Amino acid sequence: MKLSETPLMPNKGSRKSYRHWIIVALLLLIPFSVAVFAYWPRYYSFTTQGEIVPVHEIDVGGSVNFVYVQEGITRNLYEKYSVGLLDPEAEFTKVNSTAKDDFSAMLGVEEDMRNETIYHAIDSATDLTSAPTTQDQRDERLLQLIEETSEYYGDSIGLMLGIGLVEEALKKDYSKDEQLIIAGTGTLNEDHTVGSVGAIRDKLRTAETAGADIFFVPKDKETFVYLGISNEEEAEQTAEELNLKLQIVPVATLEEAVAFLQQLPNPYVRSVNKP
Amino acid sequence: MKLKSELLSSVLKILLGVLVGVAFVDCASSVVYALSYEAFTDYVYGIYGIVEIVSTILYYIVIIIYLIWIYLVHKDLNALFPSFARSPGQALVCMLIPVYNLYGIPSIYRRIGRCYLEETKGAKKEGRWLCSLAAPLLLFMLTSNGLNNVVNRAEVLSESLFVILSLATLILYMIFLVICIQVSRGLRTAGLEISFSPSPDTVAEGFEAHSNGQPAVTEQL
Repeated sequence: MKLSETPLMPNKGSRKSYRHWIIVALLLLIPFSVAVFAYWPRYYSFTTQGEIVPVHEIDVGGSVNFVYVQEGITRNLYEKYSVGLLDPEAEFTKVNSTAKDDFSAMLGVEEDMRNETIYHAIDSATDLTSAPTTQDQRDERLLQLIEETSEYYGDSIGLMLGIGLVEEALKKDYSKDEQLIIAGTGTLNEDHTVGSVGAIRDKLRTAETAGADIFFVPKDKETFVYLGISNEEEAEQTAEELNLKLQIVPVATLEEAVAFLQQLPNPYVRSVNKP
Repeated sequence: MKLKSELLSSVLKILLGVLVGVAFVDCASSVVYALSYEAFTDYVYGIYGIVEIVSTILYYIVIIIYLIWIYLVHKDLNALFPSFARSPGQALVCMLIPVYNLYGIPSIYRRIGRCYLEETKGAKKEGRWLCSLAAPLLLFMLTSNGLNNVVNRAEVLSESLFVILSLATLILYMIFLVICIQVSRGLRTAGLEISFSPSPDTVAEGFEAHSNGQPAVTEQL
């Protein structure tokens, strides 16, 4: 009998040769299952710390700063985890799958709100300083500021922009040659009143991280019309809870904010938030 | 004769192959990141997240399989070559003790390589591979560890550092894959040499008879 004709026993080895593939497949199932789980659509809206921005960066001749925070939608647990890594104190709220579209639509609305508050800031600062400006000059300034702030959304820039424009018109430096870091948030209305905004906690954290000395918030205990607590109360709570060092100054109007800055002693001694 | 490490060698080779593939995608992603941040966020970010998750978990799975494999490899080596001095337990110590493993891990492969060179006829090529890979292995382990520490501490990650780390990791995984292939190939050759050795004295203890139940070709003839 030739060797090639030798009857072979059923080959158990062929079953064995698949065994390692089965083990590998099972082991690979673990990371790929976790990846699928992490990428499974789950939507969360979040707010997290941003930065304080000097108004001179948007071509306003002032020394004060406005604050922005990061807001957005995470589409899955992986994105949520990534945001959480960047800022462990980021706040998440579960939302539904339409949130992404709603967020995009909201950005359009917030753009309009930003333009409106810039308009009011220019008008209020002009009224306050009695600067002789023509309507054309105001319109030109409005367009220029809209362009400079195009990367920001929302109307919380109003108050600080108003103060910056007052500084510019009066050639003042409320920061006392950059000894002070003055920041704040709040909308500015046609009648120079300061309106309520969102994300006070994150804005305060951002300002504290940036070393701000003074932080303006809307004085809205009596006027707050939204759900939850007012900006003023939230600021007080946050300052106490996080033991913030910056001084929180609630203001009802642009005039009140400017008056506060004008009466600051030189050198400035920081007062505390607690009584 | 059946090697105790044979099954895990096959498993580890495939897993390391997948890990190398994933590391390659990671490396390509980091190059895109370095060249254009916009292109990275628009086209790569989604895949990059999956790659990151898979590579992290797979890395830990490979570590566990790898430790079991190196233990079994040393069991096989001790059975095949009675003169082989390092026990499976000692090999694990070399792997696991921090700082000492910077010497221990390359030394494992240098010893195996030398053993193949001196004790076998057919696995000399694998022995040379293993001896020559010990130094690059140490170099890339140090580079990869050092860069990982820098990246973990850095507040802002520079693009070039990101690319270098990905590349070093890819090369390190490739070295481990080549090592795994050479160790298992050398072991198989050594196992065959000893099983087909004419003297019954040379058949080492602790090995099972030919596992698939078929007589070996040499015995048939």
